[in-house]
Amino acid sequence: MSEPPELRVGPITRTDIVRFAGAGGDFNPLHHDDEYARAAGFDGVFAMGQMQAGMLSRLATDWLGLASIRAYRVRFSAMVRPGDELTLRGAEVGRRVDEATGRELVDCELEAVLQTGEVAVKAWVTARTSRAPDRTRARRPR
Amino acid sequence: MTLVGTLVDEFSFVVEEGKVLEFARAIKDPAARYVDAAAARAEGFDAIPAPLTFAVVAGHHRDARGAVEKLGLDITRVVVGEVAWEYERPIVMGDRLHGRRVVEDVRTREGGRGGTMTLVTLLTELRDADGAVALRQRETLIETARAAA
Repeated sequence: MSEPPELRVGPITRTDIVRFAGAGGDFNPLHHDDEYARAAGFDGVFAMGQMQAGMLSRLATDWLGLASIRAYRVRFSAMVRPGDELTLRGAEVGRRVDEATGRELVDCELEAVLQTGEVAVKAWVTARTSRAPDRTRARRPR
Repeated sequence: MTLVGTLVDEFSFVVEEGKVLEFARAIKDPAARYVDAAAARAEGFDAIPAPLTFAVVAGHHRDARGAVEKLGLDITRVVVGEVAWEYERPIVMGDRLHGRRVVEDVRTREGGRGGTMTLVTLLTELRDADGAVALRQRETLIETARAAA
């Protein structure tokens, strides 16, 4: 499949941001304290980029399988604020062979796009085309 | 100021079932692998795995503000531009991880409106209890140019 089905997320709420703050440990007041955010020059609170990076990663793991993913990179662009909606979409951009392992890799690009059309997060994923975890990297017994 | 090789911080944490569940909910990912050990095993994992960006929970165990100050950057002008993860092996519930974060690169660039931007790349290696690298995380911090007086 060269493209996963699009996913819609939102409207994003302050509660979503607080939930991610608690899960991820980012207690920067810019994300949950409106007064603080305005004093810092923003219109109000905005989501931490890692929240939408995580939401976008779900597109990758549903599509490619968590076990096969070798790399995930995100670039933060437009801010996500309470009330915003995100459309998550992606596409395969190429395949190649990993010289180190001889295995086929697939490279994909993903985007989380706001209802305004602005890109909130752009992401790049590299995955093995085999969906099983890589057992050549054996885990030593604990 | 900021020197390549500087140790920014070190931290440890255990990948816990409740935290994996909370994180999956927070990113709105209902995948069965995060809640059901049988589903995880069906995908080939030894135990419930952590979501792809789970390493960010290190935020509970590190002082972001202190790190920025240690780098000599002005926190009021610092944003995270990019974050990249490389996965050596799946991270699963029960893993005991130790992270060291170092400055990997520092460069300056002329900002669009004059002034100098500083880009700092931080590399975190998360190692398991055997000392093997499970995951690498690279963050690019951007200290934007000082606003014109």
